Amino acid sequence: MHATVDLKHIEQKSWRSNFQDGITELSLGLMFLAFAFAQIFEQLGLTSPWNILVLALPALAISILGKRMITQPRVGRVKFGPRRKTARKRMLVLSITSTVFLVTLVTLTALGIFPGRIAAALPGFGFMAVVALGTIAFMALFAFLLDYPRLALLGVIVGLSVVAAELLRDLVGRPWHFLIAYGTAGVIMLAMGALLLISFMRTYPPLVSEAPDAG
Amino acid sequence: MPDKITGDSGPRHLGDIDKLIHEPARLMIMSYLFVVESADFVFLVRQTGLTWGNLSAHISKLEEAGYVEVLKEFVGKKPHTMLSLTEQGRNAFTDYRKQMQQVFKDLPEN
Repeated sequence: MHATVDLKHIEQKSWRSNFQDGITELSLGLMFLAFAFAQIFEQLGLTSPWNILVLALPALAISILGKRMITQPRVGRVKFGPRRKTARKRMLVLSITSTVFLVTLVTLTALGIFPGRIAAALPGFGFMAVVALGTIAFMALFAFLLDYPRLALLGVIVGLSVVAAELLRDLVGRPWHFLIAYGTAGVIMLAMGALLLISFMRTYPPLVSEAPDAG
Repeated sequence: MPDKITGDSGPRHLGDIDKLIHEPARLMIMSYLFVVESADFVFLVRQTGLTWGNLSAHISKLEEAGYVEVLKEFVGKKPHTMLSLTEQGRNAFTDYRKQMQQVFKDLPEN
């Protein structure tokens, strides 16, 4: 037994125990519900950015407080080695790059270049496919860097919701296409998160600490 | 075949194995601490399945041997105890792995 101590498996098991709580799914799901209901909230008199922030802020709170109040007391605190630190640095670079990309996209949208002219240049479903595949590829890259395979599945849900929103635009009109497409994606992610959280809390019930400063 | 570590052959050098690490519970603790920079008691209880008392007793033994160090830090305003392997602990664990691999390598097939 002793000669076959699989350190790689032990390290990976420890790392992935951080992602079994469903917190990411819950906050992403709530974020998507924020997108889904944004225009409806706006029609109800909630001006931008509050129409999104009304649900985006709870999503952020769940992400931060959930890890602090649910995950850490149950699985403990751990600082990982150089390999994971490098991965986190890469994640940071990717996050900064994506923020720059997003700002560029918003600027192009404000100038009327995106999606108008770019969409016009790509015939049929081309534009939609590029956006959806780009989203899936982007999330898959995050999943790879974080060693968090489920994130790739979330990427597929996000990508499909983009396609669905575009397909539903002419069918049901604004703002219902957002509500149906992003709402469905949000509800799926929330359901995934809730199931994972329940399973996580059953697997890791609160520990009654006998050690000093253990919690 | 001569052994690279002890110059011995066969499993006779099992006697040289670090018995402090060889104990299953301590081997688990050392393995987990080897793959991370530091971890707290809760993490080790969860990952190893040991009880608080058991874990605490083994940590004390490893600390006495100079393999593990107990780090006091603050998380917000709360004091928090983290555990990590010392340089000596990392070296001892690396040696232990090499020795055990050699022991199994030297064993005949049947």
